[in-house]
Amino acid sequence: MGYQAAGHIRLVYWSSLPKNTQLMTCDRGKATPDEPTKLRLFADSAGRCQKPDCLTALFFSGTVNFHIAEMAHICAASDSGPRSNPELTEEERGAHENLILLCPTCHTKIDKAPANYPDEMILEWKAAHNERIAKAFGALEYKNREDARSAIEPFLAENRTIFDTYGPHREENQNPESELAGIWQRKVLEKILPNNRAILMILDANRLLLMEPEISTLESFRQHVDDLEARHLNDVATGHATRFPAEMSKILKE
Amino acid sequence: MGNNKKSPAEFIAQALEKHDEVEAVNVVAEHRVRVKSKKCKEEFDVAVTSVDTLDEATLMSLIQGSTKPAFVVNIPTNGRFTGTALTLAHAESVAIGGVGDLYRAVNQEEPNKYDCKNTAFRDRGLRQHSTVSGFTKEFDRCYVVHRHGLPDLRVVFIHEYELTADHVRTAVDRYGRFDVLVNSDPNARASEKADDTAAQLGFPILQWGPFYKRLREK
Repeated sequence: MGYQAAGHIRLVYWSSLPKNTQLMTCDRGKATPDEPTKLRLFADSAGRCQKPDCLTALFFSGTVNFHIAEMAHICAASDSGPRSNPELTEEERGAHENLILLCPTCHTKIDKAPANYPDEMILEWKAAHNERIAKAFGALEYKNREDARSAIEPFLAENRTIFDTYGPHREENQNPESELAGIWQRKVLEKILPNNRAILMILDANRLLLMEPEISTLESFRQHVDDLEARHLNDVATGHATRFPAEMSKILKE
Repeated sequence: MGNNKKSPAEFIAQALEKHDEVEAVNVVAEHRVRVKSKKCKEEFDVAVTSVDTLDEATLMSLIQGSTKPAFVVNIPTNGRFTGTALTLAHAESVAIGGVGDLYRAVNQEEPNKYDCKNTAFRDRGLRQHSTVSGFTKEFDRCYVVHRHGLPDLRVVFIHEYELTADHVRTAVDRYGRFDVLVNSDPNARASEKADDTAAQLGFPILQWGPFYKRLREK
């Protein structure tokens, strides 16, 4: 399992597209999406129709690889098309932000009855689809530091409580037969290690929100996570395992 | 140029000032501090030394005087106490230990009755073992364990979360040859190098449970 930030999800998907897949052609002049835009659109879809109650698979492998994906303009490429917005330039109409990937049925539906499918609704479909994918990987990109902090807060709090209650520093562990040791080891495996991974994924996804000193804190935390996993998953002891960086308590705080 | 080196008493006084349970601490002599803690009704003295090995004679010199200290602290982390010093301390109702022990003793209503929990658990376990007929403390962490019908075992006890080769060699440096190195920290791991070093030196590193079983073997 790697440190897959939401941005990297796109890269992961690009590399998993079936070989020889022909990306759809679209001829709308300057409103035609370019190749990077198409790739990004296809990657965002994770191979499925982006309409929330559809999610039909769009790509098929076999003797012949083919897809049924259709790039739909949210606001029409032309001034007379569905959901047209005359204020948009041609380039804006062909930009990633104005496109959604759908199956043929859903594309037909939204263009035949645009009043039933306003642009705001389709933009919400895109956002929800991105969120669904990010959640599958456990990481979302947040708009601000406060939201990102709120995302990691529960994991930090749980780990702190477990450490304070059961940690190796507790007086009870002066007893070589302490029952606390077994409880601590179980909770490290079941809670602390997975929580650490979740924190790392969220921080990596929101790296742009971090200030310079916080980048160092993040990297110290990453080493701590690695050392802790080495110890508890692989029984590795070196005498040089790093401690939980105290600065993590302040990361993303104003 | 001034000499900024702290005396042992000043070092301990500064350490105790940070303790939440300490209301006041004053240096009253080169090797004495007087402490007022929240838990203890009366002020009490702590005798301070910084030696490699605290023996009976050194302990006697520290506890003599008009006021018997409640606690004798030896500062060095790897400092050791001889078995006779431990016996004298017990007879004189004086607690004895390192800085960590002092910190814990200050939390008690009667600091002079402080008993290191780790030592207490260890001693109880040995007393209760059916094969063990008794044990002699050569030092606070080095015991000769006497067994019914079996040879004595010279055992060194340590309490390390991550036991390294350096810990192993330090134990040999301090206590000479021994039969078993026991790590009493229930969360402990020994590094591969620690195990290798111990094997080269001719003894195993055991956690408490395996050590308990070992006591039954030749």
